[in-house]
Amino acid sequence: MKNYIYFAENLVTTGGNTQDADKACMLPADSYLGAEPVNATTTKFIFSDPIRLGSALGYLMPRITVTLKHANEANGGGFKKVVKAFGSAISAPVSSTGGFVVFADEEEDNPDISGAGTKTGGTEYYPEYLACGPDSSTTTAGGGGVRIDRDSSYSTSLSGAGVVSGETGSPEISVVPIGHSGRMKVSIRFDLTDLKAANGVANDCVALAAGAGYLLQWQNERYGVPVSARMSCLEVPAGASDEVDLNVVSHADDDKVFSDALGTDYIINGDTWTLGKTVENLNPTLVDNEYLYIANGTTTGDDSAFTAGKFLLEIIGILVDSDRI
Amino acid sequence: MIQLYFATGGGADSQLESLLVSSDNLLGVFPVSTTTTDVYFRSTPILGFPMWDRITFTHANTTRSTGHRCKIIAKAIANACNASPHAGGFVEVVDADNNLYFGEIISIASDASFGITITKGHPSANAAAGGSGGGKSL
Repeated sequence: MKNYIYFAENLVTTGGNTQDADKACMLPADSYLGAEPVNATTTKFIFSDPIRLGSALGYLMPRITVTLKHANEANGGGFKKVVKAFGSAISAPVSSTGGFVVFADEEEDNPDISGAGTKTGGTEYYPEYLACGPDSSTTTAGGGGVRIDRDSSYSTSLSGAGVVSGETGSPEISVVPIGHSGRMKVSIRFDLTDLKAANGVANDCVALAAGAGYLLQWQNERYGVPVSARMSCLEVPAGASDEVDLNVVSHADDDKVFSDALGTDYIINGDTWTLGKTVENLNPTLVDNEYLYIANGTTTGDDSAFTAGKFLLEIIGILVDSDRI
Repeated sequence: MIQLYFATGGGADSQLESLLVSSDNLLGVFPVSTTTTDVYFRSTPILGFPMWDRITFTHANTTRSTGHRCKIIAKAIANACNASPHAGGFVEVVDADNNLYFGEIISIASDASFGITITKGHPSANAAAGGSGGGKSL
């Protein structure tokens, strides 16, 4: 016996696993992951997403977020009251709810959404949330007081503009603590499509024609002291004059671009990549605050673009200070 | 735990014409289009890969009249999952072979387009809008 929580935007049309987001959803209460204040009048609820993988490159856990607009604390709302109302909703006795709990259903005609006089029943809010002053003042479809989005547990905003794949976009980077040991696993999935092989000069930066080519700035404070690195080939590189020897190196600067010399501080010395090949380095000399770059391994490539090439780079770090998880 | 029974009306004598799923495996209910709503149940993983069973309801387009039918379906599904102990552990949510409908689903079963289909699948990495996934700053 458990509750299921229902949310709906002001206009309910689409959703499901082939869509990027849902206009309404009913989720089990135990899929709730947490909430965070966005500002004084906006709260974001986070749920695990059961029907999408959320990643173009891999199987990273996606999330559904429900963003609610409400009154501020002085006017009966605010983050604490809103999440308290939600706590009440998900733990309400099933004997009284029947298992179906509408927390915020904003679906209703308004000046921007027409077609009928009145939706049956009108808007519906969980009583304790209704006391928090749901804000439906914005009447455009999808822009109201309930917004359902898709979110992911990875970042695509930590890399330079020069490593944006033409097929899958920016590298996808996730950071996951391993147990309670202080070990952190940093996973970087990247795709070489459209990047160039550095004019066939070994140890030069592989990147787009423009834009910084770093994958990630390593920060010991966030990711720990790096103790191991491994990279696996998920799709063999193609194009770029058949360059299949690629490395990952570290460099102190964040402004290295296509064909810049990167030196020989190898984090991964890959040699010739084949499908499924994994290369491991149990002594990565990755210095705090340095940047990770993809580098040309041999003189084979030219400046033509890769047409394929997917990799997973995983680095284990260990937090050593009081931030240990 | 309740066993939820679905039948498409095809006679329940071949694959995907009928399905029995556990209420514990309900993953969620989502509108798909103005005339369809999906109900997802966790299924047996294949080689460790997560799988689901999906019931797709087809119904009238009431998005701009009385509201999307997904709310009615969601409520009925949630109620069915919590129907114990009176249901004897078994609920016919939609049995189109015998015109049996649970809860408020009966109120939409008269829609000219009403029906269900059963499919099996797995979480999708590539959503309609391109599938790069919405990134989030860590």
